[in-house]
Amino acid sequence: MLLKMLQIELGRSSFFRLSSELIMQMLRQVSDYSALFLTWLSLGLGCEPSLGAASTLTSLCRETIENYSDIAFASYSRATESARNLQGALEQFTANPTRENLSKAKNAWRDSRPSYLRTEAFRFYAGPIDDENGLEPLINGWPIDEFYIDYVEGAPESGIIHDEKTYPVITPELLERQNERAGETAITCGFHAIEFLLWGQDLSATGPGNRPLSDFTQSPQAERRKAYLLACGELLVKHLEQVARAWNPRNAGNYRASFQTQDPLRSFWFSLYGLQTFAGKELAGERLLVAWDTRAQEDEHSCFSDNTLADLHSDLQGIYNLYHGVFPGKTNATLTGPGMKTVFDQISAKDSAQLGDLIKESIRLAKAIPEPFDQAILGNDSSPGRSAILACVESLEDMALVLSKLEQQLLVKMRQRSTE
Amino acid sequence: MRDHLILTLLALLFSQEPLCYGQELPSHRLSGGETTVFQSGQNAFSLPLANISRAHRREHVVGNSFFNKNWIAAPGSPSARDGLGPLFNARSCSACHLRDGRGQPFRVDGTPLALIFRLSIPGQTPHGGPIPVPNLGLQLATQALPSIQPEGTVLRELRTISGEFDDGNSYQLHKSVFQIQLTRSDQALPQNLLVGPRLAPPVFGLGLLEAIPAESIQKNADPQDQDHDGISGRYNWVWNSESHQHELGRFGWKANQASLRTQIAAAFVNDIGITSTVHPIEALTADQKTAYSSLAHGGRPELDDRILDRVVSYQATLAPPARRDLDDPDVQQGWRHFQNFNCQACHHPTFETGRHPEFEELSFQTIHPFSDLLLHDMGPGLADARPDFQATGSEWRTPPLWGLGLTRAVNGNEFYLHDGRARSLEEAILWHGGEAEASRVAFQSASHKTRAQLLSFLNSL
Repeated sequence: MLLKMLQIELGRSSFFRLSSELIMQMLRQVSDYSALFLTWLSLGLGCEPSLGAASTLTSLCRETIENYSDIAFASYSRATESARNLQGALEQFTANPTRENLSKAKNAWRDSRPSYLRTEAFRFYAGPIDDENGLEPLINGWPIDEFYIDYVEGAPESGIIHDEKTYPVITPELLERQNERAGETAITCGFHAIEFLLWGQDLSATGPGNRPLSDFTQSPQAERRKAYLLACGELLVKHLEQVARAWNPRNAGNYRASFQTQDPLRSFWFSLYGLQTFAGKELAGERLLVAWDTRAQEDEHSCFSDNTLADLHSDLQGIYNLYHGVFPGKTNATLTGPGMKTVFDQISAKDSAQLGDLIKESIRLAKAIPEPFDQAILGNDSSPGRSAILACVESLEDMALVLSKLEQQLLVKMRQRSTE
Repeated sequence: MRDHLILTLLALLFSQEPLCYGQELPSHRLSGGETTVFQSGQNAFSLPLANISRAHRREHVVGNSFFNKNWIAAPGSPSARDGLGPLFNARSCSACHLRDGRGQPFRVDGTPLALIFRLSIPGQTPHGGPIPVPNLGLQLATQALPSIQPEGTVLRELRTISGEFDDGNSYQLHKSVFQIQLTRSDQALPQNLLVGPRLAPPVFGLGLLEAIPAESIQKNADPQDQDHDGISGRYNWVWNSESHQHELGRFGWKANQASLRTQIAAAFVNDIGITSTVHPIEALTADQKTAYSSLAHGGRPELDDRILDRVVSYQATLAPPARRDLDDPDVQQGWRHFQNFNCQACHHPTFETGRHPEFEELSFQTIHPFSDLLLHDMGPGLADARPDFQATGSEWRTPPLWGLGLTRAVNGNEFYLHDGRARSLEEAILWHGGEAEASRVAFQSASHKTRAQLLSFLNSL
């Protein structure tokens, strides 16, 4: 049946009367032979000759993907750098556990958050951060059941820190191995493990957790707690370095290399797919809506330090960066190039503009949520906190919807291209 | 049709392959129809349906958080998540179904992790289900709240079975021999004990399976093997503890659960010790009930209906991942071997879903689970000798194969079959017996290349 159709079509095709040797010879003479080939094919078969658009889209995607990869490398490098600062502060604090050094360590933790969260827009397409190596749960595993790490209210002897019998020595290898061993929230390392050890459970309505300094000085577990912190600091740097290496333009054969050599539309599709999942499922859903729905502080992102809203602002900044193709440098070294907007504009100027507006709007709405987040989720639905959160959720959901529309149009173009 | 034509043309021009199986290329790519997601890393099984509505995605994310998070002993800090135990096997759903994938049967220290042990004695309850062991119930609880003792633990002894392919290459299979050790010395296991080990399976695509019309499943049954192909296929007919009637069994290793909601509620009460309106009473024996009556509970029920709905919604809307590598010639050849070996007789490739009463997204989709959801006798090698409703001790429900090739990416390891004994797909195939005997023999006698191509096909699912 298929063969019959083929013969009928071929009979009508003037193109196919050219001998295949001649075609191959001509193809070898041009560098971008696929484009030429596609022109002939489309003319010969009477398709719409929309080659110009297709090739523009391909080259736009190629340029965008290159800049995207540069931003990825710069973002993960910056995140690694801040994690090293945090590691330094943890070393300083554990060597000399004073109130001042604890507060320095906490500040270093807060300072390390924006640079990492700006990288989260690179998630959700099985890239280096969430491929089969499973680095994300080691770096930013969340939510966490902190009783796997240390004591909590009502369980004064819980966690690895107290279980000297099973875990005589606390090492980075141990924590890496135990992470998620007992389920997705049995997190043993990463940002939120460090956060819990620095702040402790947040039992306060007005401020963050307030772990006593004596946990690191007089407590019988002080040494193990310090060893735990140091191990976490070391792992965080190691894991972030690993992601950064995958995006380093100087490393042959890494993820970036294949990301840039495969079909640029496909790579662009990955980045679009990831962004859509990030905005919809992750930010609107897991980060905001779950806590809004349960009114439970344990469901907020950075629940020990009350850093949740600052985290959200940085996450949105990451989306903004990818859309506009920028990575703000510390001095004048700002990275700019074509952002995802460039390709979106080509796919649908209307949807792209709407997306740009929604990114701006989501940033504005996130800033309108009153601090701290764990109080904003309380009350009835008309309370200022809850209505502000829901407005932000809806804006992010709209964002995911527009991204999904753009994705569908991109997929149509990819299909068209393969038939042209 | 134009897609096919052009692909074929390209194939003609750029390769020596005549026509290149062009017709097969697009057919099974979208495992879950419009719900299919495209993800190959560790989140491959954890994404909501591609076509999910805004309202359902909201339910999905909230349900997800209750699936992932650990339950704590009552009374916890003001929390919707207390009520664990008193006896249990895991603290959360995700402890066994890590990243919504396949469980790891044992911990490194040799204690059971995502492997539970169903228990019973011969006979049937008035509803047709298995009869609980008087002093242990229907499942061995290997964990308990700090103040009390678990029922017992399980020791595993590995036996190695060696065999050969017809081409002379050898293989080794592992068979586990389990020994239950009770905690209390004054208690004994009954002489006529029946034990069913059950490994946590992947949990995506379940809403789609639920949306397959019962008639579509039943019509593939051939209990008397009237077509004489050696393959019977029976459906399980099980008691639905919510609708209080007998219905077609769809879920579980022996298809002993009729609906996703009853499957989930049963897992909550049996595995975590969390009661719900479907199972308002803890799964304890009469003696245990008396002994633990003074312990705090996490509400009656511990899981309110709204949260149960969210978790059901979450499970119903976890999407199957798209197939990969469809243009790989080995994958295409592997698909032919799959059919030549008659694997598709039970691993039924395609179903059309009907109208799902709650999820429009799941309705009228063409899906490729590679399962007929029927029970098949798999021979003595796999039998656990523990009947469950209509399922005999050697019958198993055909497990869906979708997502198979992403097992390692999601979970970092591979354990197949009901007790996780197979460490690879090859081993899983080699365990097939009974109705699948002929298929296994065909695999065993095939060339190394053919076997590798079949595995390539399975890994593309």
